[in-house]
Amino acid sequence: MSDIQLPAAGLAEDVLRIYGQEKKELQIVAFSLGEEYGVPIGQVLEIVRVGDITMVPNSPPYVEGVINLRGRVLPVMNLRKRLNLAPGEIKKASRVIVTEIGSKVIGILVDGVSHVIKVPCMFVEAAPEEVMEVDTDFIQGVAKLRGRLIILLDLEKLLRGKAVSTDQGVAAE
Amino acid sequence: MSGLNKIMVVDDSRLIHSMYRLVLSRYGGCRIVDAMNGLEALDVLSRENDFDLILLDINMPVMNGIQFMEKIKKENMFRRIPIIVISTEGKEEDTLRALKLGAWGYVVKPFKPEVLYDLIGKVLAKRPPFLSEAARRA
Amino acid sequence: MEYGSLLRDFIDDAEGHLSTFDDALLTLERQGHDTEIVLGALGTLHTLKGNAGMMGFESLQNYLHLLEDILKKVNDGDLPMGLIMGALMDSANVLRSALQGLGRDPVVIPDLTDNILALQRGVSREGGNDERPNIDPAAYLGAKTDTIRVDFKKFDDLLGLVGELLIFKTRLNQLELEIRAAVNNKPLIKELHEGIGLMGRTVAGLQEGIMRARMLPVRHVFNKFRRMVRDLAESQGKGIQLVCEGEDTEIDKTVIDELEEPLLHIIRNAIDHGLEAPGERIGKGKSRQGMIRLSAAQESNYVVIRVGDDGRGIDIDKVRETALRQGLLKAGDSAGREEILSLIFSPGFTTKKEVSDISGRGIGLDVVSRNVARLNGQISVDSSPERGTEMILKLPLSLAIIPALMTEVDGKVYAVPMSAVEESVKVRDEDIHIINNHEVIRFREKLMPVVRLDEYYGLNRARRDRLYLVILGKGEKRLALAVDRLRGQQEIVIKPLDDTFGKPFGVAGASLMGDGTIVLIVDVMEFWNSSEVMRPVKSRHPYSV
Repeated sequence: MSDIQLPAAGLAEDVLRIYGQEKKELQIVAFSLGEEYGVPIGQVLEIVRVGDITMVPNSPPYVEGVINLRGRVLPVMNLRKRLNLAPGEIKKASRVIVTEIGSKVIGILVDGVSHVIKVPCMFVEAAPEEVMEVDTDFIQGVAKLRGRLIILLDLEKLLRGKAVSTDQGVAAE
Repeated sequence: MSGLNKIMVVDDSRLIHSMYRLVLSRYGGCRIVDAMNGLEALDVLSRENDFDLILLDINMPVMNGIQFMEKIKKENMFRRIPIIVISTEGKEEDTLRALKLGAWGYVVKPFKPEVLYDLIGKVLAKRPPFLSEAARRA
Repeated sequence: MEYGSLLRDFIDDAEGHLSTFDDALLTLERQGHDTEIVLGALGTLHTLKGNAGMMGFESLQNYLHLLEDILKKVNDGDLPMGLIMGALMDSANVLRSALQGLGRDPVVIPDLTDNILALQRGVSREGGNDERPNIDPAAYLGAKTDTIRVDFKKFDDLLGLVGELLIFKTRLNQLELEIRAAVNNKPLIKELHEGIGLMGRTVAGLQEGIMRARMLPVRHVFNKFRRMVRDLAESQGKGIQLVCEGEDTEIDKTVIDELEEPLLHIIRNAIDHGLEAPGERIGKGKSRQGMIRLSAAQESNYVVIRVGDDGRGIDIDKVRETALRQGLLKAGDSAGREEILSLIFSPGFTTKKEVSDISGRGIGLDVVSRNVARLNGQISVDSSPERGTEMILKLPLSLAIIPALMTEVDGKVYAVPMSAVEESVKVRDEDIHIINNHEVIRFREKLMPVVRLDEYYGLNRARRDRLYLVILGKGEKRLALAVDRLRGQQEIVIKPLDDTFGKPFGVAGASLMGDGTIVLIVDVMEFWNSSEVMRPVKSRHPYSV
């Protein structure tokens, strides 16, 4: 039982292009914001329920606030707002995905988390420009699975972001 | 089809050899040499190395397909011979391993003859020109 | 090629040589004397010595020369290697710290005078052919110490665990409530309640204990300056005596770490500008040697560090001139002496026309002031002509825990660091007046600006008849921070705010309450930076209060 899928016959170079490297598939954490999105599991530390989020004044609009995660104060980003999607509410199924990029640990507020999926690299394509509601700068690719389309996000770009000036200060560069 | 004069089929089943003879009869005038396992195949190669193609089964006793590939990997002379591995469903890891060791392509058995013809065509097309010359001379 | 990159190259190269030297020593120790290895080590030292000489590090060069001599004697059989191996190993460490010192601060030239003496002593004592003193094996054990060295990160880890304990305690509290509603067993619930209470107190004690363990005596910092003072004094031809007091006073390690730079600049300033050359001092009837006094003392929740010198003192007239020139002061302003002195902490302020190459790294007292503020501390200066100058740094005992005044606006709690608070008072909304579009209030004969915290944070403003003013002070300046309610004083644990999305304006950090909720800390420094803050003016107009 193997999770590689090979066609009936093939040339070495075609197969090895996909399976030749160490990573033949991506493991992603899939979550929902209306559409389905995903981030690489390597960047996810944990997933927590949404508790009290303390609002921080003079923050960018997509920063929901900060939470206390075992003694550590984490900023929580409202992903809907960050991606300029239609606004949503925090429901019971909402979760905060605690992500780690380099040395930064940030929480991301989402509507709900599905599960961890293995996506063979050959099912990942570049994002088609027209279809996306979301700014394609933030998209690493699109995974096409049986009946499902998962939009893979580039967390690093999401966190870097363009300058947003609040009333009295300038946030992120 | 030009360029296919001599093929070695390496498989441990006599039945499979007969079947291949049938399938490969398409390439009229092509000589087919049988080997029952990797060791025998090496033996053959030490005497005749002018094959245009080797069809190599992976699961064989004494020396299987992977071991055979590892042995000839070191012999530059043999690397010029295109090898197509015959694999089975469920053994994709082995197939990949063989490809990484230098096989030019693969088919999964059981296969339709067209699939094999198609692949052979592609593999031969990739062969560098001088190889077919040498083969024709032999 | 500029000095910085030349120095980096030197350090890199030297580290490589040092590594080779280390390896040679280790091999020699393991295998015993081997001429080839010793010659190899000699070659390495020789190259390193030459490089050090080229860079002008004479002391380092001398040290290496001494090492070379020692090794040569070993090779000639005049010194048994086994006995001096310890000294040789130490010397490698000495070289390593010298390199590290260079890496950290390229301006301070390594001075290995003490090490040279120690090495000579160490070698002659241990290497004497004739009399070998009775070696007491027990001496090798060294004195038993009551202290151990701990990786500081371990404390952070411990504190993190304590933080988690606090969260769990909160959950237990909630569970207790739920159980109380669901179960009808008074004695059992009472026991549960007491148990949780006890645990909470233990956790608090644990936290306090760990915070205390993080504290170190200031001696660690003060000692670093001895050599610097000596070197600077020599290079400027001034005689300077450094006196340290209260070195046992303890502060949190993180505060100590942050203190080094500000103190460094202050001391440099004192040496460069404050203290006079011997000739000038004698001419004034002062002692030939100038004195710098570093003192530390604990005053309630703060550590007060004083850096004083007995030099020229600050020339108030010069300061006033420069301030006028830089627009920090207007011609007609009546400013007191204290206030003028405090102007030296303003950005870009400098009276010295050329910046000497030692102190001229472009870092002025304004950066020092900002750094101290970042530590939730305050800095002030006192000076009299010809008597000297004293800088006073007031720092909270712990970077992580500070006393704060808890205030409430729009139903949310915000913490104001006590170090900035003068007092608080309840007033009526009608006492606040508007002058030139700014809200002000007259309090204790002074007119001071009013900042409404809810407006400042863009929160909902409630119209209240009565509100509280937290009077903030910095030097002579005063500002009233208007809030809805006061919720008492508390010691809070400071957590830095992540700045991935930028630093939120007006928020200095966050603190975690015992029940796990987050309370934001008001950035008081920002109020002083805002151009809206006016200098208090003695009120000439009687307002009805």
